[in-house]
Amino acid sequence: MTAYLRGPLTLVWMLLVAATVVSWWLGARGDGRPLQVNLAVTAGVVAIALVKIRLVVWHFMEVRTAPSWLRYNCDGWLVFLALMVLALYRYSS
Amino acid sequence: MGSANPAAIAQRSAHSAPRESIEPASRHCPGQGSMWFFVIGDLWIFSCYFACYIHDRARHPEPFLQGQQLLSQGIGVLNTVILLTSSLFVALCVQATRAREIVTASRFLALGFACGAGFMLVKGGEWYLKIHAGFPESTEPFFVYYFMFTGLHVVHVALGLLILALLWRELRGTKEPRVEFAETSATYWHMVDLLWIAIFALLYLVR
Amino acid sequence: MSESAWALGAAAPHSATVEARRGRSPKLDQWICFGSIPFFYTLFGLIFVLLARIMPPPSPTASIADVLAYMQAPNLALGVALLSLTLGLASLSSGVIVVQMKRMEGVSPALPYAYLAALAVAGVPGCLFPGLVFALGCYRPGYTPQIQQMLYDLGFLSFVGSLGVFVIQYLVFAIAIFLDRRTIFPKWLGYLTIWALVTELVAVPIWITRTGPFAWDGLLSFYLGTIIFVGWEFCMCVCLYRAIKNQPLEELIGRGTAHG
Repeated sequence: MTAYLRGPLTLVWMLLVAATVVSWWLGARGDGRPLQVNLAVTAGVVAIALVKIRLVVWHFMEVRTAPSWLRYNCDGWLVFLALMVLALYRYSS
Repeated sequence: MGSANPAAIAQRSAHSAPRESIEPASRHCPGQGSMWFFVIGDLWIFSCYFACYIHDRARHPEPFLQGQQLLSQGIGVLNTVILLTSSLFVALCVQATRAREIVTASRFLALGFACGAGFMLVKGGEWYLKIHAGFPESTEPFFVYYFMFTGLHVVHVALGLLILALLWRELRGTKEPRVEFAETSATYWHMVDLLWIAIFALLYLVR
Repeated sequence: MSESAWALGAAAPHSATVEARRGRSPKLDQWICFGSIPFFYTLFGLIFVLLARIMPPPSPTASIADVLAYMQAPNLALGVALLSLTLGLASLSSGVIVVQMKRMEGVSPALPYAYLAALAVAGVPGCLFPGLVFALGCYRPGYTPQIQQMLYDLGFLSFVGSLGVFVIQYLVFAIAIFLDRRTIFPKWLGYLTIWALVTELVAVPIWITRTGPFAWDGLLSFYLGTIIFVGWEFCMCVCLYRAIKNQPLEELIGRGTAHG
């Protein structure tokens, strides 16, 4: 079992956990101060989520070695989602 | 997929598992195409929900900001790490199935399943605490989204656990467990993980 | 009947292939039921969208005056009258779907019956009951505005919020498709059914929120679910057509064949 745990997927997992902690730090609440709308924090959190999702899709879901139609579909959806979220966030009011 | 003699297996597990036997051969679609059809469609449906959420939030941020303050980011992070770990185990299970090391594969699967069940327990606890503590009516818009998103996600997790249980039956119960079945089940499970990453970012962290 | 005549009858069973050779379509019963589906849904669309204006639903926060105007509208009265007469047609579509589900291999026969039961039960709160509630509002104009408001709320909450049984119907159908070794219905229809199930669940909050995307006229609780449902129904019709068409004549039930 340890042979598998020493493989590249565990490295991906470590990156994912690290990214989670970074985004937690970024979005963390101040000490009791009420939350404010903050485009920079939101953009950062969305970007990190994008990276995390791409890591999961690319490595865990093995899309890295998948046919091009699948790779383009996954990447396309991801880019669309991130852009849509940011655009709606910025321009909805 | 290589010889079945104990010496070869011992040698294989002594070093890192060889790349050729655990990674798919060439440009290979992991699992059944119909499962990808489902995954991609489900992601688009959730994208509609996310779009609605962000749109509503951007128009009237106050109830969302107030409501978000009442959520525990720590529990959210815990859940995220639990699900990421379960995804790792399920991915390793697929690799082991490909290399025909079924005992190892089922161990990984059991660990992944346990993490998934753990996620549901933590989520249930979080809900219980939230409902028990109550929330002000001004934050109602946020909490409707919160319970809907996490509720829909939990339904997906439950379905995922069922699918993993079927994979267990395939691994332990059949003579020649199909790699494609493992890949298909794993694809669904990773989708569940992926959805949670998005939900966690949007509900707990985004401002 | 004399023994010899009875024996003669038993020796030459009236098989579907014989009927086909005689120029009668042996699957006529199924085709009639299938034909009822587009007919029913066109009628449904006419009644719910154009006549009664139940779809798309008006707002939960409409003023009393608007509510009264809606409940007293003559087109609503006509629409619900038609609804009460024609709703029974939906049973035909359930019947033919169950016939095809029973052909599935590796699937417990309990599943098609569960589907039938689920749809029969779901049709009441989902369709008939709102119709009756609105009919009550139309045909008894003497009720106080508060009671009319209650009927209005009850009708729409019932129509949009009766998701529990539909969820079971979808779940049973999806499970049957995935277990089926003969692929009577394609696997992608099973996945589409799961989407219909998931979007149906999003109607839960309509009992709590009266504005926004989770109200009974909301983008998520009503429109998304309805769009997915329409898409699902269309695909279901296509797959059902193919299933009936590809069904081998020897399998037809009730034609004196081995399946009887």
